[in-house]
Amino acid sequence: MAGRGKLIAVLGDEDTVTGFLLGGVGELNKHRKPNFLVVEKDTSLTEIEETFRSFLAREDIGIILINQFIAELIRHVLDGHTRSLPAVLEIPSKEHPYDAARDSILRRARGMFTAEDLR
Amino acid sequence: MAELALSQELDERLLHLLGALETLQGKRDEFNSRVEQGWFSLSKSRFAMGCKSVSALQYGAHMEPLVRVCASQGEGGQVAFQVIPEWNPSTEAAEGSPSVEEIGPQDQVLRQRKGPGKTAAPGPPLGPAPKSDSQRGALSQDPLTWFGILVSQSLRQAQNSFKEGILLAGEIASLQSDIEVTQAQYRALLERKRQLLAREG
Repeated sequence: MAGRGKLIAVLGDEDTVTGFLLGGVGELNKHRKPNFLVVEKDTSLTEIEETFRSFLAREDIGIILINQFIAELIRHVLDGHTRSLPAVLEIPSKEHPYDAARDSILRRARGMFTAEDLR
Repeated sequence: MAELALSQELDERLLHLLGALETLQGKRDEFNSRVEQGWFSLSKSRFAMGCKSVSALQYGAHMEPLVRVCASQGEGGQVAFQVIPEWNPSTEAAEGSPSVEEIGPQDQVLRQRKGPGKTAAPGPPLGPAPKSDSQRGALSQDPLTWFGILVSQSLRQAQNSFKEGILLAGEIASLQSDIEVTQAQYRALLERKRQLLAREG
């Protein structure tokens, strides 16, 4: 499986996960854990964090798609992830539009320049 | 002279970074638009098929990924992500397989209304058009089949929107990696420039 390329994992609300599974990213069989998690109102923060960390640790996942409102709940984990693989993409949800100011990648780009640096 | 060369290199990295940020913003807007279209289509399909007919309860018990990502590292350390879909229609066209399954005899034959003696027996029936293993596999794995045999057009539209979104996700991931590497290069060059100025000053 690893020779054929890596997987795309999804952490999101039901609509987001359903949509991307329709797109064909899902993997689920009796031997392997799924590469997606549907986050509902009663999904615990521990489960979200553990699932995200497990996706980060898996070598067969290349991209992780995560709703931004879920990313906010585990921001400390995202900010600590500085490796190139897997890439983490924060995506909007139906009730929470995408806010570039909250994106971990773009926040690192912001504030990188001062007047002193540009002299 | 060294300071001038460093400053030029810094300017180049900065311009590259700003260009990448601008491209990223455009790709993100496109991606968000696709995903929003997908949600809208999902809502329409729920309206057509029923709320309970399009939910996590319908997910297949067995899923094979139809999309994979190839990650290749460049010279500067940036990672390029290429999304490889297995639903590529050009592959199906190249194989020459028909998109619509044809059943029944390939040639026109007379129907035997009154038994085998009255009409000429038909020739040996030709088999159905051969399908490639990948096409057969892809059809059986199509996530649309989780939601029934006849699904609404909105659900197909939602699938197309999210497929386009997945392709854009690969491009966004590549741009993000490029931005991070460029930032790191910029900081390193800036530090070298500071050290150089400190030595001269």
